[in-house]
Amino acid sequence: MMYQDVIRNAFAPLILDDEKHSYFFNNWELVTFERNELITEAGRLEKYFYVVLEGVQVIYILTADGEKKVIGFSYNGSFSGIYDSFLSNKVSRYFLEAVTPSKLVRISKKRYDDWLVNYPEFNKWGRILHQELLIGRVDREVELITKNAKQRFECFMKRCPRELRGIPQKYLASYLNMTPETYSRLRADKS
Amino acid sequence: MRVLIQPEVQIQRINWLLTELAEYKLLSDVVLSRKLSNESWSMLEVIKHMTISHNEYKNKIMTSLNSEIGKGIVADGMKCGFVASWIINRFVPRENGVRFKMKTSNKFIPLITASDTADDLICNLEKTLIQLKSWIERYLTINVSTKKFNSAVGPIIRFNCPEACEFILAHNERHFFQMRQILASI
Repeated sequence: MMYQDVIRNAFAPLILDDEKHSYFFNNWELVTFERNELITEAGRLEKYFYVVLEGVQVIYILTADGEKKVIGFSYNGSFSGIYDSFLSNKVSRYFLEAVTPSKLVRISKKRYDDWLVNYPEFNKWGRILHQELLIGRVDREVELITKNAKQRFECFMKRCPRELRGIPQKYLASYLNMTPETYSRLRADKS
Repeated sequence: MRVLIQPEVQIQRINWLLTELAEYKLLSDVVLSRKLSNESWSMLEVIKHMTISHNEYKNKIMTSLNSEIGKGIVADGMKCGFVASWIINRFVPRENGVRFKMKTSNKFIPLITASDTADDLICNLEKTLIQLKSWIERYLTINVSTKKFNSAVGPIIRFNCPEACEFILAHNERHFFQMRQILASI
């Protein structure tokens, strides 16, 4: 399978052995999306847990006046999906959209839950993932509350993955809670 | 004010309607068939009316979507024309209710026949909402033709494909509002 290595890396620090953990590599479904295509819609249930093989995806919420507020991104080798809807079985408040042509693999909720129940190593990985997600969200919240636009921009640029540098600036500006004009000015100042 | 079409917003609004419609599947036939007065429609009649109205636009929209890729860039938002905005704004229900009462022309009056079951009528409307969403998803990813075609009331009002979808959606929202009012009064 071409995507075994991507899955293996995505699930680190879980060490996956091809034979012993064949169940991890089976039952993934390959899906592709065009640019701007919606992967998950607000108002619908997230049924899948994704690993990204190619492309960039954005998670956003629409404000009452239809403005997109970006919450996060996924890209090559990362997990994707509307995780809170997936876990809680409640309809999503967010959209997951392909910013660039995207190729992902996914597993169903049933399969994911089966793994958590039946395989201790997957359960341990799940605990680590949730810790990292929680710490990441708290860090981002603190950053949004305590840093000004310039500081947020600089922090982001230090950790910005290469994959995100090529996407439209409006997404990055929204993620950093600033206008595209401010983002553009800060970028020009930096270069 | 000109109506701004944003495909993602339209999709979210359709999903809300689909969620609401799923709840109506749980209602009894007695509730769904009840009329508040001799002149008013039951919920099933409202549901059938929405399906009839949708189907009136079906061929025109599909022809438009299947024509060669056009110049209309809808993904980042597209403003409706003046006349289309005017009519759509009259249909959208506001917080305090439906603002403009409108007469229904004969071809859109729903006649419930013996073969119309509640399940079928709801299922048909569900299919139209899913189809409407598929049209919107299409112009989210491709540039579509902005060539106008006659609306269901004739050449006096003409829509392009995204405007027609917005009109159908606003029309449905108006009638879902009506169904909420019927339910509240029962």
